[in-house]
Amino acid sequence: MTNLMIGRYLPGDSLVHRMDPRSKIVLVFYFICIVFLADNGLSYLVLGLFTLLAVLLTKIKLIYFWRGIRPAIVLILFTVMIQVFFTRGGQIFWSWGPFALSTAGLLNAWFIFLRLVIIICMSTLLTLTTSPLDISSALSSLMTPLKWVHFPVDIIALMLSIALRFVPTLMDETVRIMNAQRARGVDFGSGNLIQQIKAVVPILIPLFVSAIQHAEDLDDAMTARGYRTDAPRTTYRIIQWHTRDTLSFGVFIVLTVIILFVRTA
Amino acid sequence: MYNERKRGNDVEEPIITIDHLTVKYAEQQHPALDDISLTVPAHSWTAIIGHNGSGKSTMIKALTGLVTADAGTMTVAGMPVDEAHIWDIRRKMGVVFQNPENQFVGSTVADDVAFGLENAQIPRDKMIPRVQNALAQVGMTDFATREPAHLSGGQKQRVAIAGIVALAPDIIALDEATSMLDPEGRVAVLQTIRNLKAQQDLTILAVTHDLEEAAAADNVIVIDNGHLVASGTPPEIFARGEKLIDMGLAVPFTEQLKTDLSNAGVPLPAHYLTEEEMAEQIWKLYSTM
Amino acid sequence: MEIVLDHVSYTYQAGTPFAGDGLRDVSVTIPDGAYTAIIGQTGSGKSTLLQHLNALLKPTAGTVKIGDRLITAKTSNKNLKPLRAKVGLVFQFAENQLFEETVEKDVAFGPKNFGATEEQALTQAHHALQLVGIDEQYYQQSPFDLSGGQMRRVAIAGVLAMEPELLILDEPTAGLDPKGRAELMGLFATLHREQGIGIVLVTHQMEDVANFAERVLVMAHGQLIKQGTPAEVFADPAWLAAQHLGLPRAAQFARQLQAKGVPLPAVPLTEKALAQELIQVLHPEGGRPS
Repeated sequence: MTNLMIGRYLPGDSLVHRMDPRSKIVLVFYFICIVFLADNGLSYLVLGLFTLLAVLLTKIKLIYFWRGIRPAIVLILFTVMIQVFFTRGGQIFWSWGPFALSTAGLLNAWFIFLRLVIIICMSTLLTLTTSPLDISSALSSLMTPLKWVHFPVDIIALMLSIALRFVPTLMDETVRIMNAQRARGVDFGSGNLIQQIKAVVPILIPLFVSAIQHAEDLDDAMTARGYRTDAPRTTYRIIQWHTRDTLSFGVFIVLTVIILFVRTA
Repeated sequence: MYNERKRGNDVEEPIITIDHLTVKYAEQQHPALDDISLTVPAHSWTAIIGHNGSGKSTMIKALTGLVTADAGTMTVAGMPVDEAHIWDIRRKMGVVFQNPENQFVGSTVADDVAFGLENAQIPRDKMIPRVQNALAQVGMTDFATREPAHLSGGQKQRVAIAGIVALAPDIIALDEATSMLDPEGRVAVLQTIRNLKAQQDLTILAVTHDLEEAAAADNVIVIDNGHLVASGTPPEIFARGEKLIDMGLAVPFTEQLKTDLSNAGVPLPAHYLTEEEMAEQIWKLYSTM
Repeated sequence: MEIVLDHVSYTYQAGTPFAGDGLRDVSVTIPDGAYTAIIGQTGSGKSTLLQHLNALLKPTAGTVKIGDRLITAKTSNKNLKPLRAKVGLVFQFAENQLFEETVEKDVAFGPKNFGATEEQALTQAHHALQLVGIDEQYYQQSPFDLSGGQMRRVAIAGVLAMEPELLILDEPTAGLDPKGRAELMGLFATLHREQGIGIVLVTHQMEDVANFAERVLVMAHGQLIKQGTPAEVFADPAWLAAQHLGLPRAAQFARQLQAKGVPLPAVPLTEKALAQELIQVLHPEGGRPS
């Protein structure tokens, strides 16, 4: 669990850290779209350099990005292999039934490899530089237009933030309950599949009971503090839009123009 | 009832009145509260004591409309507890609950303090100074941006108090607010409440089974199995000695000591003595020996 | 069963809920059958220390000898069961571990895991439930229908049913009312006195330390900073205050009296001891009732 870097936030004070989380989310998605425009070596070079620049701007050690890629390595290699052996075109070096090794296949595989690495690096960059709290606030803010179709944006936003806030609490409780059951002779991670599933019951039930208790108490506390779903509320937490965010959008437009210019098709 | 007992010139108007209140939970045989009548004088510190499950917490839930009364009427800060007034009552009477974890709604300390203000639709520019001010009053200013996972239980309770103070209430109710804290957290929370009460002339309604906490109150109400079994000043209540054990409580330290000394023939007054008074009595006995 | 910790250190992985609450070079012996209290501020490493006593945690450095089993960083997680049956650990707010459909099934869960037959486990469960004062009428009820105090007792019975030689209690009375607290502390004292069960009690209640413990360990910042009898540990109030720890009520009051000029020969730790001393002082002829 600990070496899984997806979703791990590293606090910092870099330019990227200080960007509005909304612009980071929008730009990362936008970037992923642009990546699919690239179709030749030069366009991938531009995107690669851009990604490297963005990564360097975060002032986070490269090892953390590598840890972001590592869990996906099997998936990447699998995709690359499929490209290598199932694409025919250009000079064919070897073939057997549906399999073939060709220049087009190798080139395609290389591009797919670059594409995946670039995308993973950029998404890792988002989660490394943006706290879960900021991501949830940003998502809520981005959902605001949905209010027009009477989507309960505020309630969803509050649910999201409370859920996030209780993650450490429930993790803490899981550890405690596991320890308590181990002290009563439960072996986790041993025995056959059925024994292992049975061992989970003494954790899940107490955890479930405790989660319900949290929810009931929280309901009382929120009501006592004047929370009602049928009345409007004001908002304390706001996200600040800065000039650097406007500039970032400018940079991405320039990037798009360059890519459109250097791509083949 | 307190308003029947004259206390010189400082008899206060009651800020809370409970008249023949009965609350019964659907799944239980006996009512949690059975025909309770009492009043809480404004600006007093009133402690409600009783063993676990005596029904004492239900009283605070009834006053804030979290459970509905099966019979009886209540008023808080001049308003009847009913559908029409309940939201106003909740602004006048803040509750600090038992479990510090389960009342922290915001993602950071400042966000949590702001939660009640958001509900009260206070504009953001007015919220900011009120949040800061409230945090300063409970001594949590330096923690404004912290997430709850990095706070101790006592600190979380102080944040909960700040969230109430930000709304400038008349009454703070403590629902066993210190029972899950370590001694340091307990002292810090009680000191915070004492300071606030003195500065803002608040009324404190504290549900507790901690006799030391009750000893510092102006009035004590004892609840046992849903019945009001005694009410009075701490000396009046604590003079009951062994009978307190039958109510699921303990005999206060000085009362136990007095009993042991009296049994051995040491002449001590029959009424309840605080630690200070007890030390004084023993000193007198020693010096006139 | 004796437990010997030899230069034990433990470091939690960063990012876990307990990070920073480890142990540093702790060496201590918990004698067979003793009643030991552990005191210290929240976060001083008390809970981490407890979890080393039944090998829930293994030392990062140093060794823990539990009876004749030696636990080191390299000890395999297998075959620790016999040891956990001998060292019963009751966690804080133990009622959170209940999960079975009925009270008796939940209490029998431990014994069954340790290899008891269904029948044997139930016999042990009933015995344990009797000890903690849960009436027979509740045996077939869901533990979740009980009151908070009863749930705590059932959870404690769940550990007692394992018939441990050493009982480890992490603030077992936290949140209970005075009566429930007194009853549980009385039960542990009885188990210790009559069945010779060793007790390790983590507590913030200095009265419990004074009333029950034979030895006291004081923890701070993951280190064992003092050990001795309650009298030895409570002899230096200034030092205790510096550790954010208090004195028992009786000792506090005795100091108040001493400050006034009432001469007390020794600082009493319990209310009974204080009363005895005062009777001596106020009746110089020998404490006879006048």
